[in-house]
Parts: sequence; structure tokens; C-alpha cells
Amino acid sequence: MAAKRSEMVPMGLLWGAGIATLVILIVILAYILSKGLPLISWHFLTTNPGVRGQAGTGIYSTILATVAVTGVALLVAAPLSVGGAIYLNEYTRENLLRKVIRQAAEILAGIPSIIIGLFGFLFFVIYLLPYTGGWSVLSGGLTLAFMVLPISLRISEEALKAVPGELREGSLGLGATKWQSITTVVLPTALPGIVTGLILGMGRAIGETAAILLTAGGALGVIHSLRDPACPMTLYLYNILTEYNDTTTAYGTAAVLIIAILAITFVTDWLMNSYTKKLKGL
Amino acid sequence: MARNRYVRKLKELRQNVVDMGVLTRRSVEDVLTALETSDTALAERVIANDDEIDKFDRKIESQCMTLLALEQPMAKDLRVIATSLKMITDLERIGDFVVDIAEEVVAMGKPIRIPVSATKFDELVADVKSMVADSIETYAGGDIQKARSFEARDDRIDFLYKNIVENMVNALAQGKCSTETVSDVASLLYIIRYLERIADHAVNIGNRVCYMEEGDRRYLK
Amino acid sequence: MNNAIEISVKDLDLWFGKFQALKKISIDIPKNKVTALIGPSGCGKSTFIKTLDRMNDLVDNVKITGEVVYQGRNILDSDTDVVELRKQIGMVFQKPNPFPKSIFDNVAYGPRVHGVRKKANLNEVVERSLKAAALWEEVKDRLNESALRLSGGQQQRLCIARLLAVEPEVLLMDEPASALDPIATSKIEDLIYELKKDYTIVIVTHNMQQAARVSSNTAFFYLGELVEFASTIDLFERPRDKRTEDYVTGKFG
Repeated sequence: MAAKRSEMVPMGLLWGAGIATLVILIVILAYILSKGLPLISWHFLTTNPGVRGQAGTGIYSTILATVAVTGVALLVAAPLSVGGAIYLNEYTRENLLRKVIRQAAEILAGIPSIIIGLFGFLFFVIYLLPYTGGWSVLSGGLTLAFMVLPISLRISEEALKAVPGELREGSLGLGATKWQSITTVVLPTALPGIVTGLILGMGRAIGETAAILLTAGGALGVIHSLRDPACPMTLYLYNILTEYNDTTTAYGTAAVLIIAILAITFVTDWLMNSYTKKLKGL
Repeated sequence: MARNRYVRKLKELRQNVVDMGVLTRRSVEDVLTALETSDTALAERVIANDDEIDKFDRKIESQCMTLLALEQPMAKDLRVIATSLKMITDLERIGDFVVDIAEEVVAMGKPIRIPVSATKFDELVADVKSMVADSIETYAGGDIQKARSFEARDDRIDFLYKNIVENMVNALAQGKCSTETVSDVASLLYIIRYLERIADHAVNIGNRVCYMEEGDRRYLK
Repeated sequence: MNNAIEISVKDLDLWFGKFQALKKISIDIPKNKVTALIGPSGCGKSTFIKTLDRMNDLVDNVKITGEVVYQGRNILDSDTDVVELRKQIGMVFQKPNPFPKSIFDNVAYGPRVHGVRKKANLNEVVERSLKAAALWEEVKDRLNESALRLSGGQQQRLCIARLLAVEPEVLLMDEPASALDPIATSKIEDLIYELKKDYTIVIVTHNMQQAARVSSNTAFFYLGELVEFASTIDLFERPRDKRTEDYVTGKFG
């Protein structure tokens, strides 16, 4: 039986919409990678940027800065978001407080990053200067934590919610305490979802520029402590483009960023898939 | 009400059992009329009629098995089916005794001559008739109290039966019988034996109906 | 004949908010027997069974009055050690709910949370429990495989084994076979029949034939009331209450 013509038109349009997404992604990736990949070399990755960002140097200190800033953000946001999610999902019932907290997380996630950056600047850089060292890895990381927190909180909460109630009942029914049930049954089951939430948050942290611009300082030297100012890759990319119009280095940096994010995505996907499979006994 | 089809099938079953009972009761009455009036033609019809009773027996058994196999009957439904299943055997046996009596009537071919008082015999006949009728009536939804009196009525029938046998044996022993009446006495001995057995089956039916209505297994002893 | 009472319930009322789910329930659950609870959906039988190990505590807005006396104590008292209670009164749920762990770890879960650490002891408990749940022969060579790879019926027996490992006195079963095929169901029923020698079992079931097959006594719940509690044969052959009669003959509504 031939498909009706009237069926094929909407189907074709929807197919086009789906394909468009894929095409856009491929074009961006191909363009950046084709421009940037030739630049990537061991030298590029292990050499510091020139003082004035001149060509022929590398991005070593900026990679380090990205790792440090993201690390601080995750270290702060992970326990807060997972702990918060456990509290919300396991210890409170669906009530006003829970709705308010969830709404707050959503609003926080929706605040433009430049405004979060502004707050980070006023609070961490200026007000807490004696502790954070002003513009620093710490100020940048803590500011980013605000942006990671709502994302991973919401996703962790969903992951916990997806753990079947029967498992909790089963555990409690065997005389386990609530805390034992959470640590031995609920969390291991929800782990893939929780990790996904953290990875998404981490992706946000790695890619963030505006908030970093106002809080990390942008110094190109190799950092030695959390209180040193730093220039993560995104900020470096922004700087060399706007200040020196150095598109070559910008493409190279962008390629490294993209590869890093792709690598993290694929590796965690793979890890979580095999963990889920193990959980399901496949 | 749920399970309409099932409820209808149960009703059909009960109606069939009642119909079979009515048919059996009529056979009992007819054969006793034939005996009283020496109506061999009627006795022949009664014999032919037994096929109908047997047909009912098989049909109802099959209905019961279907209900048991497919409907998982419980509580009173279960008791109705179990009772029906057993009761049709009682009815079928009554039908067989009716045929036996009818055959005696046909064999004698003329009014019966007996050497003892007819009163006790008439009483026995009337009692058996009414018990058969009552047993079927209680199943059809009549007064269950009647069924409870069956044991006592059966005792009376047993007494009459023994009494008549005794009288006839005495008559024989005392040589009160002519050569002709001896064969009548023999026939009569059979007939009252059949009547007594019919009453036993009626008692069975009464007890089963008590169980069916009240679920008390005491009546099934 | 052992006529001891395991759990004695008196005048139990239970409300979810304004809705009264259980009305003046009084019932003595005999020891080492299987007691079946039947009734239409929403009649309160599941709510009732959950009250026996305080699982209704997990629900919002519950108010319970009356007595549930177990081992001489009213377990509804607020100072009842719920964790200890649930060790003694275990529950098997409608849907098999093995943890996403190995078969061994599932059975060892209870003993572990109660502090058993020695591998030898755990091995012993796991083997004994799996044997008691008639699952040992099927899984003894793959104890380290995930429990989720077992069939539904095996999973349910695993959940029973998991429960037996904490050595309870009472097993509550909330429609334990309703998600299983007939063969798996009959294995569970055989198991229940075996277990009643050592345990008091209370089973909620939608399946009247199942109640008839496995239980010694049956309680019929309707609209939050305990309508009739009798020996199983009496309840199914000669119920006293019209509502029970209508329910067991399937002529409800």
C-alpha cells in the first residue's frame, strides 16, 4: 500500500528538522576542527601562551586553569547538589519548601551568566578578597559552582526519583535504616543519573566565559595555588580574539575545548552504560 | 450484577434438574396408578419414558462439568452444582426402580391379589409418592423444613415395609396363599422393596438440598 | 493442633486524610498458618497488611488508632523500634523487587545491614535462605550474577530468600504472584505451603483460587471492613455474609 501523499509532507518536514540539527552540529564541528586541528601539537598543548599572546606559542597554562577552575566548581557543587537532592527526594515530602527550592534552582539556572559573574565579582573578588585572593581560581571556581549547582541538583533529583519505590520498601522491609537504604540501594541505583547531572554541570563550567571574565583574573602564567589569578581556555580564546585578533590560536584553542568536551561526554557515556549494564546484569 | 452469562447458565441448570425431577415424579405417580389399575399400557409408556430421564441425566451432568471446568463456582453456586450432580443420579436410580415396578405390572397383567390388609400398602404408596414430590419441590425452592422431616418419614416407610414383608411371610408360612397368589406375593415383595429404595433416594435428595441451601455438611453423612 | 495467635488486631481504624480506609478491624492471625486476605481493589486489604509492619508510616497524612499486638506489645505505639519490627515481620511485594546487585548480595543484604560481616557466615546464611526459598538448585552456580537476570518467578523467590535471611517470624505477602505466569505462580504457592511450617504467613491476593489453595483461613475485606473471617473451606463453600457470597461467586456490583 502506498503511503498517502498527505502523510508524506509532514513526515518529510519533520525529517528535515531532524536532519538540520545534525547538519548544523557537523558543520560547526567540521569547520572548527578543520581550522584548529592542524594547529594542535604536543608543543601547542605543553607551551605557555606568549605574554602578549603572539602566535607560535601554546595554551598549557590555560588548560591547567580550566581544569583547576572546573575542579573547584565541581568539588563545591557536587556534594551540595547530591546532598540537596537526597534531602529533597528522600527526607521531605512533596510540600511547599520542596517546591520553593526546586523553583529556586530553576531560576538560578536561568540567570544570565554575566549576572552570576557580577555577583561573583562583588562577593568573592571584592568582599572575600582576603580569603580568595581577589581574581583567582578560587573566585572563578566558586562562581561557576553556582551555575553547576542547579543543573546537577535537578538532574540528581530526577535520578533519585526514578529509583523505584519498591527498592526502598524492599530495603526498609528487611529492617535496614533509612540511611542504610539510601547509601546501599538508592544511591548506587541512581548513580548514572547523578553522574550525568554532574557531567552536564561540568560541561557548563568548562564552557563558561562571561562569569570567568569577571572573577578569574585572566593572568596567563602557570597557576601555583588556588588564590592565583588564572585564564581558562574560554577566556583566553575571547581575549586573543578581541585584543589581538589572533584567529589561528583561537581556532586551535576552540578545537582543544571541543575535543575535551566530546571526550568527556563519550567517556562518561561509556562508563555509565557499562555500569548500568552491570546493574541490570547484562 | 456481574457474570450474567454464568448466572443464566446456573439458572438453566437448576431448571433442567427441576424438569428432570418433575418427569421422574410423574413416572412414579404413573407407575403406581398403573399398578393400582393394572393398566399395562400405562406401564409400557412409563418404561418408554425412562429414556427421557436418562437423557436429562447425561445432559445435566455435562452442564455441571462445563460449569465446574470453566467458571470456578464458589459458595452456593458450588453447592448447587455439586448437589445437582449427585441428585440426578438419585433421580436416575428412582427412574430405574420405576421401570422395575412397571415391568412387574406388565408381567402380572391383571389386578393384584394379596393375602394381607391393603391399608399399610396404600399408606406406603402414598408416603413414597409424597416424599418424591416433596424432595423435588424443596430443590426447586420450596420449604426446606419439609426436607428436614425426611429422615422421620423414611423411618415410617421402613417400618411399613418391614411390617408388610412380615405379614406376607407369615401368610405364606400359614399357607393362606393359593398357588396363584404366591406369584403375586413374590411380585409385591419386589415392588415394596423398590418403593422403599425410591424413598431412600428421596431422602438423599432432601439431605443434599439442605446442604445446598445451608452449606452444612452434617446432612451429607 | 496449634491454635496460638501470632498477631492480634483490635479495633483498628486507619484514615488517609479524611478517607477512612480501615474500619474497626479486629482479627487474630494464627501462628504458623497461612491467612489469606481477599476483597475487591480498594477494600483495604493491602493497607491492612502494611499496617502490620508499619509500612504505612511512609505515607502522608495517615492516622491510625486501635491495637496491633505482636509479642505482647502494641506495635502501633510510637516507641516501637520499627527497624527491629521489620526484621521480625518481613514483607514480599507484588512486583519482585530485587536490588540491582548480585544474587548473593541480595540475600546477604539483610544480614549485612544488621552487622554480619564474616564471609563464612554470610555464605552459610545465603545458602540456607536460598534453599528454604527453593531457589538454591537453580542459582548455586551463578551467585555472582545480577539478580535482575533471573526470571520474574525466580526474582520473587529471591525476594523471599532475601527475607528469610533476616530470620523473621512473620511473612507478609502483598499479591506475591500476581505478576507471574501460572508455573511460576504454582512454584510460589508450593513454597508458601512449605514455609508455613516455620513461619506465620499473611497473604493478600486478588486471586480467590490462590487464596483457596494456599491458606488455612481467609478474611474477606470490603470497603474497609473485615466482613468475614473463617476457615478457608467455610468461606468459599458456605460464607455466612451475603457480601462474601456475592464476592466469592463473582456476582459483585
